[in-house]
Amino acid sequence: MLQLIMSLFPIVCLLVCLLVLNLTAIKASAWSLLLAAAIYFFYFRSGSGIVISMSKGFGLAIFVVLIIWGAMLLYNMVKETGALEVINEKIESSIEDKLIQFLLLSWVFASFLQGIAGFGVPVIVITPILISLGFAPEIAAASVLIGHSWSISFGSMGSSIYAINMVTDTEIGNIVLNMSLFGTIAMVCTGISVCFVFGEKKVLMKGIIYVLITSVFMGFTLYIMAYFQMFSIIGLTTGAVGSAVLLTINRISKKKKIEKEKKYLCGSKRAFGIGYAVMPYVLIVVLSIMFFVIDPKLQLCFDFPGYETAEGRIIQEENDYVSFNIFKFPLSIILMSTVISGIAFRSKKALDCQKLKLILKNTIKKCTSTTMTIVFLLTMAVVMMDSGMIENLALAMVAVSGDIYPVFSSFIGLLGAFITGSNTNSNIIFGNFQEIAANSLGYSAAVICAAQSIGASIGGAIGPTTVALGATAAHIQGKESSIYRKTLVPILVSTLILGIVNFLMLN
Amino acid sequence: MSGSKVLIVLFIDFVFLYTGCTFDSGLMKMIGGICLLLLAFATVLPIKGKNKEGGKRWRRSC
Repeated sequence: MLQLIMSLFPIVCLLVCLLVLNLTAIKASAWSLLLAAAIYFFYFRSGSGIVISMSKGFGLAIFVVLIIWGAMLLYNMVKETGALEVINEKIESSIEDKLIQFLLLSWVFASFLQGIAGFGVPVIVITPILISLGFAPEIAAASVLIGHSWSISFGSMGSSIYAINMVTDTEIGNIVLNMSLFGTIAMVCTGISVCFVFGEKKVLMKGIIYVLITSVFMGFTLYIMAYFQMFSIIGLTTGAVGSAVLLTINRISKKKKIEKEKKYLCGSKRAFGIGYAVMPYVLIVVLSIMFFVIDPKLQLCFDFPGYETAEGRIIQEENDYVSFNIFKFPLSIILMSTVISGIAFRSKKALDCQKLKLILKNTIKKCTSTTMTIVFLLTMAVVMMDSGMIENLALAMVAVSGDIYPVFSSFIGLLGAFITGSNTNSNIIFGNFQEIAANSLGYSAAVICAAQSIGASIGGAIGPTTVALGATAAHIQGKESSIYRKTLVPILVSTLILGIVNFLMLN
Repeated sequence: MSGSKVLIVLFIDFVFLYTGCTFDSGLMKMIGGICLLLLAFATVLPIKGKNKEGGKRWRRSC
């Protein structure tokens, strides 16, 4: 029992610091790391091995942090050159319905981006666009976090799917078919949640209708892609279909398009048009697909040694614990896109040395605190994993739940994503555990593993690292609690719905 | 501590931790681990001038 309480302490500390004491994410994460490290060293008697766990966490953090730096650099360039304004004007002129703008960007287009790039790129890219369209920063960040969360499991070219395949013996095709069902439910839940975050009760019903119509098409696409086992492009295709459906709805419901477009054409006197403005984003999509197809094998890998704690717990040696595929790594793709677009903007005289200095200065300023937050959080996550704290929490959940374990299986996925900030990591930690639990309780492992993955997927929306990323993108660092107030309830309710559906399916 | 200094400390810290783990050097691992914990301490303790954000909060509470 004491072991369980000790295992729970760092998470409780994190939640209390963020939600009760309203501390900034950087301070909350620093307190939680110190507490987790102290518990591992003194209670679980890690010995000097704790340092290896900390460096593993640091290695994982570098993977995430580099993406944030690249994305923030790109954002600052797009902003300073005026490309962001051009994009906004175009969106405002072609989609006049604010609700469709909101749903299209935060729920559907963010999922499309997740399908290609993942790793927080949708949050970094879409949040600033929503803010510049006039939405409040916390609403913009919360909506993107919730909106694209259903697709995390199908995103990053299928990395989460491959992760659960690595750690389980269940046939992957079967798991993904069930994931497509749970994914559709999560899609509807997150879509409706985004409508709630939008905040206008008058248009809520209209929003729900849009969400249901779009979900029918996206859910069908998801199932078809799962059936044919096209895991790498499952998220991308579904997001693209969703975007097409919402744009069609917009076209049908639009009445004053011509007048607005005239206004846009007369009003804008920019150095370049929409083609140049969206170039960085188009390049990200093109380069991601290109490197995925070419599949270059140039990799940089970090290995870590194993160790044994004073209590006899053996932590295995980790080869390729963190691996960077130089060309497929989002930072490389974003940097390539930034450089090419930068040259294009310079040719249009929209970028000079002074602006370049400002871009670099702003990037360093915005990213420093997020870097520290993510280093602290991921170090804490690995300390908790290696010490067995996470295993203790999951075992306690199984013991408490008994016959209603299927309801809790999605919450276990959510727990993993909350702690590590990653669907893939949650699947790696708990995938095998859920399979064993399902087999021992006589449930279908494929269904339980699917619930695990989708629970982890939507849990990504409340992971402190992801929320810190959202706060950075929305320029409200230190106000992470305001994002949590908008995301926590919808995500917990969605996870509960997933759990109930899982329970009904298995009984 | 300013942004660029924090980043330099983080970089050096990672170099210590990673090389310590790779070459199994106890001393380097220790320095890296202690450095990371000190950074966490510096973040949570409201030391005026050391931690910009913490300093501000400390002044406000006084």
